[in-house]
Amino acid sequence: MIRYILKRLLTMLPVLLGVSFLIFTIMYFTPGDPASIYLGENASEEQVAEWRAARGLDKPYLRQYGDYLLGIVSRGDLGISYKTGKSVTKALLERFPTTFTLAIATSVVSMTVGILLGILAANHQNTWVDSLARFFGMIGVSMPMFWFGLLLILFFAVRLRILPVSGWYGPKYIILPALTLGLNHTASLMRITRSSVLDCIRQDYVTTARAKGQKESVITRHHILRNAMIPIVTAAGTSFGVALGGAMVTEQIFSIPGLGSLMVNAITNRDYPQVRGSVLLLAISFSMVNLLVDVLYAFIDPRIKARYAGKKGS
Amino acid sequence: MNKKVLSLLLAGIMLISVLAGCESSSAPAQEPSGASAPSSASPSEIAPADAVSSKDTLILAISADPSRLRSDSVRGLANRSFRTIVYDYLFISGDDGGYEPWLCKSFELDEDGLGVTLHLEEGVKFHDGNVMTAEDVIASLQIGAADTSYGSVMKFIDFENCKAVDANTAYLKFLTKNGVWQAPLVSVGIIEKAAYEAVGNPDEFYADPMTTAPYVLKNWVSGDSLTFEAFEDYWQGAPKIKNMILRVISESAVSLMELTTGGIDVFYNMTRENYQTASANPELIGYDGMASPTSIFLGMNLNNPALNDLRVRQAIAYAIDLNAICIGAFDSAATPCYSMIGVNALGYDASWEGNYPYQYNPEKAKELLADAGYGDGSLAFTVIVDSTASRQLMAEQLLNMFAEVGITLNISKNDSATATDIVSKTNDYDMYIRGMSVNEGDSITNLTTTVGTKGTHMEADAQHYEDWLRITTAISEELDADKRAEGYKELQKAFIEDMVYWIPGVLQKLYSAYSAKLDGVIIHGGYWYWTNAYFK
Repeated sequence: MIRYILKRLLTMLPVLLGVSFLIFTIMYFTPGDPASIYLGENASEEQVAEWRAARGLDKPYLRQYGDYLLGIVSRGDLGISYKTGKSVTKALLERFPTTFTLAIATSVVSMTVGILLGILAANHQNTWVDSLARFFGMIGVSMPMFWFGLLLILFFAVRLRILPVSGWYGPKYIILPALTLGLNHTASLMRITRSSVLDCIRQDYVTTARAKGQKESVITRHHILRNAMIPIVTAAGTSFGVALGGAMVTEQIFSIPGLGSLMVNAITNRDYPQVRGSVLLLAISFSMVNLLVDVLYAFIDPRIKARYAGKKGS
Repeated sequence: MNKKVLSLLLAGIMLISVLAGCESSSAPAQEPSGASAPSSASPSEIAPADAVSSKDTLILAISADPSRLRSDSVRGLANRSFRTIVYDYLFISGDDGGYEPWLCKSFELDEDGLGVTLHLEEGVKFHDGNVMTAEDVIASLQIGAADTSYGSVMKFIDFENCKAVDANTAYLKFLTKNGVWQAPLVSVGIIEKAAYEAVGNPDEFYADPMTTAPYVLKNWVSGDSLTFEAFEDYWQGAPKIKNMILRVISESAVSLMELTTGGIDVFYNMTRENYQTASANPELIGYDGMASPTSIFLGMNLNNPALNDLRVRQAIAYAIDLNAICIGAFDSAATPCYSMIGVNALGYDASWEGNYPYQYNPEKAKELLADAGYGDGSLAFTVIVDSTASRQLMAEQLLNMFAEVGITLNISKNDSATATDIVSKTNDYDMYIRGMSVNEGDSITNLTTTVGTKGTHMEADAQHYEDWLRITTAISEELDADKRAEGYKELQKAFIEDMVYWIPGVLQKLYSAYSAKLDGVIIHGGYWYWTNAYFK
């Protein structure tokens, strides 16, 4: 297993290299000079040249990319933000815990509600419970996050005044953003859980267990859920990754100082080092989540664990 | 069964939506009892009120993290509500477009106009307790002049020959006569020279600049908030509200909800719709009395042969329905603009408001185009517009208006940096839509930097370019304000009648709202002053 994890970690390197190359190239060839934003129109040509030279922007493309990679590999240095003059790595580390907390809270909401609703819907297929759950799923995947967030604020913060409108100053500030971000993920997870559980319900081993007089709760727990978990865990992992990277809208609505709002501002301000750093961090996070999901497979499904062990032996 | 459940569920969702969307109060627009509109008197003339604030923290929403507290980055439109808590200046802007004393209590210009002696307020302290000196003032201006935003407008100062006469008297030597020498001194905040030199790195210094301002920065959570504490030794007296928090809230709708629920106390620069909602709330005061700070205009590239023909430019001016643009693109939150000089700026000629020659007249536009040899509908132009939604809408309206007179307009939408680059560094465009700050003192700096040197390629019209240079140079060097005002009027006339490179479009309105419990707010010269404010 450890060998497998190490191998996966190694295969992440070319992925990250590719991501860094892609984002560096896109930003490099995007029209518009960041010096125009940071120095204003009235800057002299000398001032522009000096500003660009100080940031290495006067060097050839490949040299710039090489310096960027060297900085990351040798010093873990993602560069200096054009806008703030602060270290990009430091800014990311300041903001990451906020987004990570939000992603965790979102996952708790989506996994709890989504999986439970999915199981309930599958177990009561074609009844009103199933219809209700499917209706919820449809609403969840189709409702724009921005609109839903504002609706939640209007109802819970402005109308009922039981939760704060925006900000990030304590546990109660997490509830509305987590519900907003979680709705979409909950709906997806519910739909996947429902279809996955339905697949298992029709399997012979479930019929056999029922024929043997096994309790329904035991059948659900041991025979259905365990076998249905692989696609559910995959979806939950993806959902967590998306919550990490896709919290931009939610962070903007709720004025949360996380990675999403940092990235939006960086893109708006042509803060290339900050954009590159943010994208790279998200790529690392997503890759790590994928690895974690793959490792979880082994714990859920003994066949996969045996396959890992088999690879080790071969 | 399923249908019943679905019906009930849908009804429930609709009910929640309706309840969420309902106003919490159906009260008509009204002024709350005891609510005070802000004062427009000069902050230096208002005696501090004896009142004690019932609440010790004021929270003000800002739409973006300022990233660094450089005096140039806090002078923009978005920051007019809070820049006076971060910096003090030698002069402040007046409501009439003039300059009023602040840290500089008086001055004497040299007879030849090539220097000025500034007499500074005495005993003004920096946040570290050190007393401000003339050395600090000169160093602040010199550091400001090195900044790219101010560099071009402070070139007239000969820093090598500026000197501190004594602790409270500074002498500024000019390289050339300059009638608007006070203009940059309204924008460059005074910092402590020793503190600046001790920190060494400007980025680090401007994360927490050492100033004489009424509030001291205590904490800055990137992307979230800046927390300030009242400076008890402030030279104008300690602010009544002891803490000031600037909260970063990028969504306008969320700021309004925060204001409604008391999460913030001041919401500056809101949409007209939000302003109407806030004004209808008896717990809030809506304020729309600030002079329009931004003019949105259509500029032309005279290197295009068709646009170098005055008749074509006049035809374009006749083809534009400014009232329709105010209603359509700006949601009625703008008024037609008839001059490139702000309504409160020195030399604004109000007579053009009733006599603007280019009232919407598509037939006249067609006649002029035919006269110029372009009556066959062959004219096509590209307009550069940045990512601002209202400007893009304006471009789309122009497309339809131009089509009516036989001109094809291609809209090139770009992000702000790209739009600026295209207009200021290339010749690959015919027209552009952009904004210009119009109400800060003398307009000459804005005119020469926004209209005169970038984008219009005015030099292609040799005869009128000479006029432009002659008039703007005369205004810049004229020391007498009345004569400068006459110069501005001459410039407006020349622009409207002879040049027409730059078609004034609209003046955007500025709306704000704040808690009705807040009193003593001063809004003067386009800026908010907080030292006298308190909660009732």
